[in-house]
Amino acid sequence: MNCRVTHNKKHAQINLSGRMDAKGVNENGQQLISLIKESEKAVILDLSEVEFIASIGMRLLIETARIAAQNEIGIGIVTSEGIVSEALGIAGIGSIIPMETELSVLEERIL
Amino acid sequence: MDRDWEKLTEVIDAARNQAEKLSLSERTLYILCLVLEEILANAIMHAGEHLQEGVLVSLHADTDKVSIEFTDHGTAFDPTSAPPMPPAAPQQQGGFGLHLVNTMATSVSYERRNEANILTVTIDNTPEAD
Repeated sequence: MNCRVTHNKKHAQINLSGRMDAKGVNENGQQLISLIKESEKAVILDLSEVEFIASIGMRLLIETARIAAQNEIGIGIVTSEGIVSEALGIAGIGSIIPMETELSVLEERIL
Repeated sequence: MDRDWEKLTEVIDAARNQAEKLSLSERTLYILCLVLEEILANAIMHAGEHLQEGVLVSLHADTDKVSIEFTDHGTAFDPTSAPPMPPAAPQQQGGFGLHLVNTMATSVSYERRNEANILTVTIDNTPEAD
């Protein structure tokens, strides 16, 4: 799992890529947590390039939402349609973190 | 498989390498990796006094389905009888893994035989959608 952050005027966008499995989360999950803790603006997590997500990756996403709530910043997920999005839907992640397939729609919801 | 995280990664990588040589769809391969990850992670996290005992993983694949059998001699645990996952909540720590397996696999069956847990998960090898 890799994280790449881009700062825009209203939000930070974190592009995640690769595999959000035990190996990926154990190696780089803390980096994502640190980015959320340090952000003073809303954060969009772009999962379009994530090729695999397991429950450990979903727990990491929930942790980021918890930190964002504590810091009173918005957070949301943008995904592309496919099996990663399907797995997130089955786990009900969209009921905890706003989740959209269109970035502009997500921006309207959380900014 | 020894119950540690490095072995988990090795087993999943080995299974994925083997599976990629077969004519499995991307979807089937994804669900196979998910099943291995979730079931073996559970075996590590809930090993308790059985941490030193391994888990036997058998993978059988043909053109229309894949089945994976997990055998361990830990405390009796039937994942198919886990209660349905409640709606996801911000404080939720667990419950996703088995819910994902039970939902995305074609069938999941459990038996306790000779003091061993035997879990068999079957995944249909669904062709890719056009």
